Amino acid sequence: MNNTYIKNTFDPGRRHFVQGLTTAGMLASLGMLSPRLLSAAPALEVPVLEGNTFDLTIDEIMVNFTGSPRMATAVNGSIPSPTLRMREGDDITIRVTNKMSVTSSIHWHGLILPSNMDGVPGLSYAGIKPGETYVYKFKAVQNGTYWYHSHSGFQEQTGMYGSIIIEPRNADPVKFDRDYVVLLSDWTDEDPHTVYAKLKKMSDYYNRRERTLFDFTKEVREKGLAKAIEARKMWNQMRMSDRDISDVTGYTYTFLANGQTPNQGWMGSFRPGEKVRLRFINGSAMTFFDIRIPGLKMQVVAADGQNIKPVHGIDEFRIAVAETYDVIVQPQQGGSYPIFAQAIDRSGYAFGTLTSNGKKAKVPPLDPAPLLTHKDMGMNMGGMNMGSGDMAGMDHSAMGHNKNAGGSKARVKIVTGPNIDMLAMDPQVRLDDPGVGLRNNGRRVLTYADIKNLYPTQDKRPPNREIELHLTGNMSRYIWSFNGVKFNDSRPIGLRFGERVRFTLINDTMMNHPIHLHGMWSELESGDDNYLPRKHTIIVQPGAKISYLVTADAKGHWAYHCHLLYHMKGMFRRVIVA
Amino acid sequence: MKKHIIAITFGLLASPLVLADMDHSRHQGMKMDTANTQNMDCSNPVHAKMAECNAQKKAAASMDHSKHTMPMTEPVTGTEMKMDHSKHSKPMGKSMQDHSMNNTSMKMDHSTMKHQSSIPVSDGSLDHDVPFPYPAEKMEDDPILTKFMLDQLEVHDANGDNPVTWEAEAWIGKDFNKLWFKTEGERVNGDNEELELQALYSHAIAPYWDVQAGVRKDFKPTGREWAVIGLKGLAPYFFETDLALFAGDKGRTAARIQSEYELLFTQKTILTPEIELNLYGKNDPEMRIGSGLADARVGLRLRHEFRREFAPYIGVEWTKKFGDTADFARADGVDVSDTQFVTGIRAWF
Repeated sequence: MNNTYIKNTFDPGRRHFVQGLTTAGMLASLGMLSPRLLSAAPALEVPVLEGNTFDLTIDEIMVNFTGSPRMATAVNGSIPSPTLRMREGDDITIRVTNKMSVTSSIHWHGLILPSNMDGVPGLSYAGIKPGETYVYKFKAVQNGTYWYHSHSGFQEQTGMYGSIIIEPRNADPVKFDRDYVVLLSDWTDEDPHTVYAKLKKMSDYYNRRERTLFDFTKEVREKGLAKAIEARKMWNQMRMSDRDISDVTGYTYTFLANGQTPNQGWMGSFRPGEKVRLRFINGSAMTFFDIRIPGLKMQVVAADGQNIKPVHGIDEFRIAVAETYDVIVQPQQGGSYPIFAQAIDRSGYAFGTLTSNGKKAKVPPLDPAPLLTHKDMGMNMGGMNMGSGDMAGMDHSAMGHNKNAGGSKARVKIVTGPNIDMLAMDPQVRLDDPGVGLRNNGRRVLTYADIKNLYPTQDKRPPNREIELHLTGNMSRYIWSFNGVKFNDSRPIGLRFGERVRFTLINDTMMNHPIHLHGMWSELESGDDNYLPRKHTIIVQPGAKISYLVTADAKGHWAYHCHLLYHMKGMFRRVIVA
Repeated sequence: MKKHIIAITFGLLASPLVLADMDHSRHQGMKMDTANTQNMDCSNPVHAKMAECNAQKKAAASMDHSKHTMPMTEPVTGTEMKMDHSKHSKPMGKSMQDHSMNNTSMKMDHSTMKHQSSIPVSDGSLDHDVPFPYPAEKMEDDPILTKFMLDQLEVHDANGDNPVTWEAEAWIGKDFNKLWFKTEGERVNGDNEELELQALYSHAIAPYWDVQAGVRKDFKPTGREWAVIGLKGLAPYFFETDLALFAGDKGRTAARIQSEYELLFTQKTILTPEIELNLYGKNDPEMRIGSGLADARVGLRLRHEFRREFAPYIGVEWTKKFGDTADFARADGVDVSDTQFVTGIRAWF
């Protein structure tokens, strides 16, 4: 059933203007033929290319998502870029031509392939120069839901992202009747360089939910003056805001689902009783989304393209920038169900509809804006660590010499100074913590503790060593780094070919960071060593600690970085496997 | 008197606001010695003697690419990547395990993760750099930026002449190093009554603080030149603070303390209380200034940000002269204290 795709070879004239995508009845990139015929509105779905040979052309196009026309970077004239459908085991050829006046690149996010096919300028190749064509050739060694995007400058922000679906060679363990991609992204009319400059000049520029005097007076009424002051004390002393959830927000962003604004509203059809597979991909530059489909329980069947032991009865899940999740829903009742993807800071949402009758679903209300807690600051009630941080750690006495307290001491050197505004005092492994804004919300929220690989762990060797990296930064100066050293000042991380290494990440900032290792799986230590889920992108919650195992089975130079676009230039390392 | 003022101003520079950043030993539950040990740079010869460093070195030398690695026993040949990997086959790995097992100072992770045994920990860095395999544009995380800030441009509702005053700053530079300009002045009936310009080099020294040094030139009312050293940043409790010391010719000294706070009524309507104090080391009759605290200015401005970058405001400003400065004013028939309503704009880009 799921192999009746729309064949849609590239037609350069087809989507030059991604403008005024108004009508409802947009179908999924992967809509079946029949529902597509039901639809009166043509040509607004994302084009789908299928096979083992693909031709992609990068060019600038004019778009209009907000009412103002803007230049964007697009592949084959489309935002999102065309969906690529290929088959596991096939030898894939992708010819990418750059028609822009600047160097570009395409990285195949989550695909296991040779380093020179990975699409990172400087590491895989020199990038694709204006007018040049680069031919990617690799074998599709895996199956599942992935995506691709530019790895040059801020081109990802300006539209260069698309979906990849690799059909399994053998029977798919996931059964479904319909198959839709829901590719989420964030669009701004501003030049991304301007966004970055604004963040450097005024890091809370896009935060329009800052504390007001009335928030304080409300707290005073609720808990009395003394307690209200006490509650503010740490934040005031640290000069930080508990409302600092996202650096770039709905103040400038329009959130898109399959390239459509909430007003346009992407739609996917179903017939009651059908199993619908939704392949969620977060192709945003900066936005985490919390996704739910009110009225439907979700069964989560894959994470980052890899099949997991199905997690049933999920109401909501958080998807970091660059993560993918596949879920199955089976609406028994006809009607329209909203696919509601709130930005993590609740400054906006991406929106789509699953419908049996062609009607747009009603948009649910946004949840309240989340507030960071002491837990998110990596604190455990005790003291705090603030200021210029000539100290990387904490007091032994505060830690109580309790060996199970979750060793908070940095075991590696952290370069401190004006570049770091805090260090987590007591970072905990918080796999079962759904994260800020999702705790105790009355819904069954997916956490990393729920995710177990469907298949047994392949490399059962214990790690022979551990690499500890602290995610560090100074929010107000907008500087990001690992262990206090930004990429341009760093030396590469070296892995010996074939070794098994534990990466432990400790988040010494107030933001969630999605950390992405190219070329090799990050096997998240989510609780069962026999079924470690293989991820390509891992959320490190603020003030938290998390670890995963990597088998260094791919030689070459690989990128390793925070996938938040405006953090990436600093919070980046080169990993060399030799 | 001069010494006295310098003492005061240095005292101010080292005030608790600043200390909150600088002196971590004051923080409850924090000990510098532990912290230092933990971050210890073993390349530092003093630290390197310590037991922990030695242990770290052993572990590092035997197993990985840590920054603390001792010189490799085998010479590095061929490409750098080959260097230690070829040497670190299983026997080495075993000895490294022994090291860490016997090494009590080796940090272990006792978190909820199941760690089979203690394994060596490092930041994974190679001990020297490796060239990029392909040419590419450098990822510039720290571009040269410029910012212009018109903090105040306002008309005063004074008796008759309604002076216009301004305070503006501009900078060009990168994260940690900037060239910084400040100007303030007063214009009455088309003439500059006061005009001051500063050109400073600004260097980040702490997460929220920059030290700024340079020159100040007063064009009006009296020509004066000063050397400047100051501290600018965000104090705990979000006080935007600028402390500066000035040294001029003929032994003149001065200090200026400015601090402001933002109180949000809404995301766009913001009340800003502000205080400025000026102190001088000695009398300067030409400038009509006396030693000690010369004047204070307290302002309260309510602005509405139509955009982040642009906000008109209304406000009230109270000024008062003190000591000999006040005496000069009385002698000149000028008010010693005054309260004025102001209307102005604030903008930046």
